[in-house]
Amino acid sequence: MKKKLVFSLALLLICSVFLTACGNGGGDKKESKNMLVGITNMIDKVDPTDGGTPWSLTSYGISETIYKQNEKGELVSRIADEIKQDDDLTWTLTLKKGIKFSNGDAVDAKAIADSLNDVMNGNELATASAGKINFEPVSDLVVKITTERKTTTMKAVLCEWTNIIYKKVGDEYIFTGPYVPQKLDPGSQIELVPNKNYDDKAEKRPNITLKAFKDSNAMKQAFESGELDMAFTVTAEAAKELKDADKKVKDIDAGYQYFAINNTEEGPLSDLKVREAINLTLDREAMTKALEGGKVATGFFAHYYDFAGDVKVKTDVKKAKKILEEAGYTYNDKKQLIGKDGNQMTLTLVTYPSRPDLQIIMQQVAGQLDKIGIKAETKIVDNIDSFLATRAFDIAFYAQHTAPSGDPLTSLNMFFRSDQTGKNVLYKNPDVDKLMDEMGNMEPGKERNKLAKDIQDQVGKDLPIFYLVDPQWHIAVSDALEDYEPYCGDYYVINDKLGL
Amino acid sequence: MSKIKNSLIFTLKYILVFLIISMIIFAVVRLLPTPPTDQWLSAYNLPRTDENIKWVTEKMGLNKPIAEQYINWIRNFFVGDWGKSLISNAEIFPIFLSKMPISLSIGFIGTLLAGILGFLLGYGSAYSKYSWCDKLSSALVVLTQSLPSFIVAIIIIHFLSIKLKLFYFFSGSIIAPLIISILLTCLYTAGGLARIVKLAYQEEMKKSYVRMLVTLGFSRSEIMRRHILRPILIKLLAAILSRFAWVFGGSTVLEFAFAMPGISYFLVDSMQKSDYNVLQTYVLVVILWMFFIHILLSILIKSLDIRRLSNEQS
Repeated sequence: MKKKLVFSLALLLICSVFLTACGNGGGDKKESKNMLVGITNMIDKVDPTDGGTPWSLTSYGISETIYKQNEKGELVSRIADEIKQDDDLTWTLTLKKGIKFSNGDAVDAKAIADSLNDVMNGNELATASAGKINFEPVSDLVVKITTERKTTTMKAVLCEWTNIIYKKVGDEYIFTGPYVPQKLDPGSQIELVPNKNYDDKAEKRPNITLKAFKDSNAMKQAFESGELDMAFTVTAEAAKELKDADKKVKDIDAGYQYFAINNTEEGPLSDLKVREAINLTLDREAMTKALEGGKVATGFFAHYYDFAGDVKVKTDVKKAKKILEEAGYTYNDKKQLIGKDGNQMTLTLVTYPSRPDLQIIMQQVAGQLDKIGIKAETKIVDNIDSFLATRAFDIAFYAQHTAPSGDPLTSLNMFFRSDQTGKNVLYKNPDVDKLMDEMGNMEPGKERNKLAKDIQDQVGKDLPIFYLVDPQWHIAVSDALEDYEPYCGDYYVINDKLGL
Repeated sequence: MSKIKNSLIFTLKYILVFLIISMIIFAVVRLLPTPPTDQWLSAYNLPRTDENIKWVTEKMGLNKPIAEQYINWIRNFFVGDWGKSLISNAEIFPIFLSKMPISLSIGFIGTLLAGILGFLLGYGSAYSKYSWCDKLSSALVVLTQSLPSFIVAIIIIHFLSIKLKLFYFFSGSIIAPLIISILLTCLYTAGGLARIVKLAYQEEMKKSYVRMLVTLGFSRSEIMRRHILRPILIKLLAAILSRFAWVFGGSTVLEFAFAMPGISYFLVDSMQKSDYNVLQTYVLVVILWMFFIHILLSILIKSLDIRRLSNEQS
């Protein structure tokens, strides 16, 4: 029996090793024309009219909007020749010749009109900026655009992530991006092949598989084993480890902004002097060091936009303490700041788990508040937006892509307009509202940008939020993608320059 | 006749359990701190205006009366219409169908192998005290108590893939990570099962009929292999039954470690997004799974019925 037992165990072990080896052993893991990219999320279906799927389709290089941002945040177009405003509610869009869908069909005025009218009807999110927009083909390459509400930034509207170009052929959706989806494993991975009708460089582009990793460590290990050509993105800690191991890690401008939302209605931060003191205490350089990259935020938008702010804040703990003392706050023997209730001032700091950088920033701030005698209690919540509505916080750390369509007004309205319902920031300033109204009547340009800067300046004085970090994200790349640069955060992860 | 009656009672019991648990899970998911409407609005950076909340609530069908939502859901479940994910709007049934095989493979095959390995080690431990089988099964129990499978998976990936470049777990075929996950599940379950088998043998060996067999001159190995094998197998099967309940959820950490697209991977994502439809469906699928496992193991146990053995012996 003993011999049989030993034999059985040995057989079991050998079979296991054999089967495992049969899987995929060492050696060449993939052909050179195939690339594997690790990302953190994957769509469940290819439906351009559904919810947030259009963002992902553009991010994967499958779809395009008529206008898109370039690396400098400028709005450019591969599809449109020009766009001009006829009156408050009407525009004329002229298309370029020769642009095709991935199946070879022409991208003409009718195709654009059908596509975008479908989007307007099928996706409520698309009507947020200018109300419902109607597209009408006037000739082969000319489209008449009629909006429900006045807008001066039609290019930005046509860059909004919901407004992608597509057509339905049978049960299949066809797009115009540099890649075509071949096979989707919902929630897990998607296989892409180059769109032969995109441009004359299609043959140089590799096939791509995008694979979702829910665990950041698994993505890091996949990259370390040489299986990933790009890990989008890795945490600050993983970036440091990979850099130390001489792996290629790039720091890209995220386009997002990290900022802190203050509870200006209740608690200690309802006092402007307390906010000013805390603002002077925050060491933003230390935050960028902890994040292994990024810049100190100078406003509400990433630095590369023309409308980015010019707000400069220096860390000055002495001045912060002086402001507090002048405002009537005192310190006890233990150098604790005494609040209005007679106890040490204690603030509730809160953030959410899906942006790990914010947790690092929150811990940094908790330590920095100690310098002015404030105690901090930190909390991670499931959903930050519904938690903010409860007002059970003092400072909430938040991340937002504040200009996904290349226009500042949408985000400024969403966060700072006095009568904006459902917004997270507790702020009312009629002067700022007026500036936003003026912006709404101006065409994009230097004067409009100046108004955006003025708004950011005023917000920097009123402090409903603290500008914190203009972040960079870390991506690990193989030698094959050494020169590749995704841009605009997680919006153009796979763009037409990949592999060229 | 009594067999049919017992089967009927068994089935009715399960239907009752099914319905009660379906009502409980339907209520419990609605107690999650953040409703799916808020999760959806946050995911698309939309403000929580009354208008937006109303629109999303209607889009998800959550504005209907609770009873109507429950009846629609449970009725559709039985005809294979498991609804759509509240967050992604994708059909749930095909997603489950495509992802369950991976989780089932890891859990089911791993547990089955653990049963075989556990029996062999338990037998060896009971046959000879302080034998290598005894030491190995003790070591497995200590290892699995002290070192989470996730850590072991990371170590395996580090050495086999990163350092030695022997296997690629994240690209190409899914066979390699699947086999490793099955083996880890087996190892993490076998130790406990081996101890159960060992104890079962030790208890059975003390019984009077076994002492009689010894007196009659039967060898220890023959007694263990033939005469008392059935009651041991019954105890082993009963122990394995409870472990089968973890077939789906138990593979979560391994699916994460190897980035495998199993059902657990999908489920954790749904929990984070408070996707009521997916969470409810998952619980019902587990109940159905346990129903079929229960039937299967009941048949196996019945075939090893010790009362028949007693009759044979007498």
